[in-house]
Amino acid sequence: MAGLAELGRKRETRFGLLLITPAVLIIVMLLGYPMGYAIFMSFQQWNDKLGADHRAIGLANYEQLVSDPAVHEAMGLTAYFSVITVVGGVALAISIAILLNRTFRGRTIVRVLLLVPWAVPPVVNGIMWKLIFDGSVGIANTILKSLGIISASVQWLSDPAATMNILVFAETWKLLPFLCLLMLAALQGVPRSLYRAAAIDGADAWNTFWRITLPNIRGPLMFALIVQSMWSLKVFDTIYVLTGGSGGPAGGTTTINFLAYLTNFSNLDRGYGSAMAVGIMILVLVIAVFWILVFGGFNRKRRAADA
Amino acid sequence: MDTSPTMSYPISRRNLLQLGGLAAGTLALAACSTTSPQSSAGPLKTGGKPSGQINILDDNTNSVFKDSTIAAFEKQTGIKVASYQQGNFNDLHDKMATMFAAQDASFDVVMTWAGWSAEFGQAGWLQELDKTAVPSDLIQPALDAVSWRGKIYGLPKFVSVQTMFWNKDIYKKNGIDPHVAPANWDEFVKLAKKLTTGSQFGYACDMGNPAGAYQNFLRMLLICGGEMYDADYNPIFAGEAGVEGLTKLVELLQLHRVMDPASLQITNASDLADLFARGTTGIVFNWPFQYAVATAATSKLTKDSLGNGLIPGISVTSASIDGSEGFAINKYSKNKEAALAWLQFVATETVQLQIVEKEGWFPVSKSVLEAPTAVAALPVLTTYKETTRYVTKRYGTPWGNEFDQALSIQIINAMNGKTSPKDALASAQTTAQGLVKKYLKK
Amino acid sequence: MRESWLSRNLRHHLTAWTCGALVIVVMVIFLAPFVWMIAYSVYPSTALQAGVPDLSLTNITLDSYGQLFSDPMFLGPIVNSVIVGLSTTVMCMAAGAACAYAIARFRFRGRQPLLLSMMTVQAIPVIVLAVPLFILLRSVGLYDQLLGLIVTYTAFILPLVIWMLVSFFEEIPPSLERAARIDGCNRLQIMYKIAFPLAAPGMAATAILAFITSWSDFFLAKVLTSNTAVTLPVKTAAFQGLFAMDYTSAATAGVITAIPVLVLTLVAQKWIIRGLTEGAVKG
Repeated sequence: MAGLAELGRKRETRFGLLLITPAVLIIVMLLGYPMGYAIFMSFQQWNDKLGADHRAIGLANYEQLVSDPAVHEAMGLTAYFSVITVVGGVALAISIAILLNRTFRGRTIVRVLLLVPWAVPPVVNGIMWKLIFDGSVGIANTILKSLGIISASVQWLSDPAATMNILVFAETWKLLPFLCLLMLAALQGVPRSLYRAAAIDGADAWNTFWRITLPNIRGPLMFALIVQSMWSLKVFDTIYVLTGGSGGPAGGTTTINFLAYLTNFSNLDRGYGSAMAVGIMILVLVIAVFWILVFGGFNRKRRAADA
Repeated sequence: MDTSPTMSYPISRRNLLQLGGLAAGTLALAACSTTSPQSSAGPLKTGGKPSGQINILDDNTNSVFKDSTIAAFEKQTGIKVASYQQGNFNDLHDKMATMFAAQDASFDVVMTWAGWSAEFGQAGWLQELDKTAVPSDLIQPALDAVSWRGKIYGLPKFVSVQTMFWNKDIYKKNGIDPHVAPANWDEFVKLAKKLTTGSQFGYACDMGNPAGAYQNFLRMLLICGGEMYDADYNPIFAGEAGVEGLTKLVELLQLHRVMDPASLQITNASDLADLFARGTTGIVFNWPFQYAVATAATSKLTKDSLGNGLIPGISVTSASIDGSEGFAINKYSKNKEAALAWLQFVATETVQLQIVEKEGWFPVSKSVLEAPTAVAALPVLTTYKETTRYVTKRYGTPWGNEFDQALSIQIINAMNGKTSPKDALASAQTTAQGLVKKYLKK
Repeated sequence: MRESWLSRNLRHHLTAWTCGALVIVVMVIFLAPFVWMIAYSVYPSTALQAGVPDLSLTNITLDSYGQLFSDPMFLGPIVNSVIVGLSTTVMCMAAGAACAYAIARFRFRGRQPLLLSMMTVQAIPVIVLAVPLFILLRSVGLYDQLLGLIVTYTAFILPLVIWMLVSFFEEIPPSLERAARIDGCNRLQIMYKIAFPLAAPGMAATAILAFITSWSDFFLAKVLTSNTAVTLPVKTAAFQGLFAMDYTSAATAGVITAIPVLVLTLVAQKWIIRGLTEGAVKG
């Protein structure tokens, strides 16, 4: 009897492996080689403009990465961008989700329209914000002027800090729908009875949020934070279109991923650019692990389900 | 933070080792595929009767090639143009760099200009041409646009030099004689001041991206009689001429307030051209296509209200910057002879006349420049002929991308008053010295 | 007593009004930019760029749509994008659902590292892979081919798909499957007769995410195609030429690029919301 169970278990495992194979094969075949190639290049002196004589230089590219002031600057910008889009974005998403979780007329249509920014491809996103924030023909200036808030046109995209803020705004606009839906869905999963109990205990809104809502949407919150951290650290398309492919003005929107792009494609310094990209990958993983640690591991619940 | 061993936490050392094994495996695969350097077989000469087919990658500046030139070329040479593809200029660099890096031969002919000729030429990705394959009466800036350090990597398809455009209607409104161009910079500033009223600005330019910042600085440097590099490519732009030029540029924005502040966020010449065509800007320095944009149906200007002349100088009478484009041959092309035939065909008088008449660019050869029909079709040509008497440069270099990026940060900071022109240029020059050393192995 | 009831009623109304106002503000911020782009596609840009935009209805013209839809250079990319988007979604869902189901249901060694490496793949910046990917696709003859784009996108999107689906499958009570097993269903039957239908809303939400991701991609499409397989975002970005910035065409192309995704999300919104409610997010 025990032997039969063992056999069944083996068969199960084999079936499981069979199911996994196609996905793993596609990923390894398509990404394994390029990934290995990139890691290999990151240990090479490999600048296409210096001809074809590549040579192994050990960790030199990574040493440069640590000491390069351009990298420091880009990391600063990345931190600014990511903290606002991740923490601010998720916080805003929770607020909007709470707002939309109430019952009101037209709730469905509002939720549907909420999806609009999500549907706009990044390339289009960039063009759109240019039409709005252009210093001479953008509608933002026209509106602010007619409201009497400003008297002369504001050059949104000529000041490094302002351009960065517009980028933050554009990305937040784009990512909010997904985060909102995620949070909305999470809120709907919180049992009503908990809220009723809190109300009976006389808890105010703020207390209810911290004691009931937040602990009960912990899982989705972690998922949102991880996914958004990845997207924020790797933001590219919107910067490319918004700044005419430059990461400007004055490098004001050159985040670390955009710097990796410039190094790889503008400067054709593939070795250093690869080291930068590998660095970004490690950074993304570290941050993902950080969120997992903060939220106490992503398989605690799974373990509970196994038992 | 709680890191007690009881916490279920998904990464164990064993897991990391497994991942490491996967990485090592792919690494081994990658190591096998390192490419060996290509052996070069000397400059390409005209010879034999080329045949077969070619593929061309161009930017989207010209439409005359797909409209008529290709058909004429096929008819005359018997070579088939299997595909002619146009891409956005801003996207082309990445695409070409990827193809070249992979030694791809999808395209035999690719579009080039001063920057790419130097960059891709030095990388060994463009086929060098023998002097005998180059037409003899090419204009110097046109030849510069396809050369790097004495080697010729292609042939020009049109010449583009900046000239001054002004709005005669605005001149008249402000009581200024619309027929006379300013003789020097001081006159230009005086004029621009008079033209600046309310939301109307005397002057606008496009320095919103690195290439734009570089161009606008270079123009100022040249009209101050300065140079970017000496004969050995030692950067010298931070000298007196450079500082004077940048100071005068900053003054236009900060002191005289005649420069449209939008100039700092305009990322390309077409946006500048559109701005000018909206009729609220007095003067711009722009490429020849400004003529077509300003006289188009949607423009507030007409042929009669558009003024054109030389860019006023500071230490010299005038000077200008070059933006000529050309075609080059992919080093990995399998049909270089046929590709060369296309390059030469585009430089012929017939094709050049069409580019002048239909698209408003300047011709690459002296003979077409003198042709009366050309001048009749494009009045700006008269000004262009005058500019050939003065310095016109671009300084395309392999380190252009890195340098533009570094320089533009300094220039924008200087424009925003965050640093002095002198310090800005000194810093950029230090960067440039490092780049020159790196790429010329000095 | 009565007074207190009044004030509570008043407060209730006030809250409702404030929330209503906030909802409207949020919706305006969400929708206005897109509406403005639609305006750019139907008004001549000169009318919009004047000091005070001229929005009179008589100015509206659909010329730019007509122009783009009659241009074979634009129709090709539309067809390409549709094929690539749909195929990628189908492949992602087929391979992803199987893989996610196995991870959720079977205990085998390497399950955790597998999920972990899925996360690693998510962390790779695409930029660095462009050249080797190009070399790889060209060497197998898939450069500038729709199939090349499809498999590449599938590989990039699969990890996220698997990640999401695993939590959907884990939400299904194993007892249901045990019951089916006793009724004589084999493993495969249980999977597609019990698990998949139960996870359908979640799968729909995931599929939409996969579609949107592949439909929107710009960078890979730019590098991995040149002519026959060019997709919509690449074509759209190309309207920003150096000497030919055509805002009307760019806006029109932008609207056209966004519309299919919009329609799709609108049609499937019930599923998306239900899917997200029931699954992924309870991780």
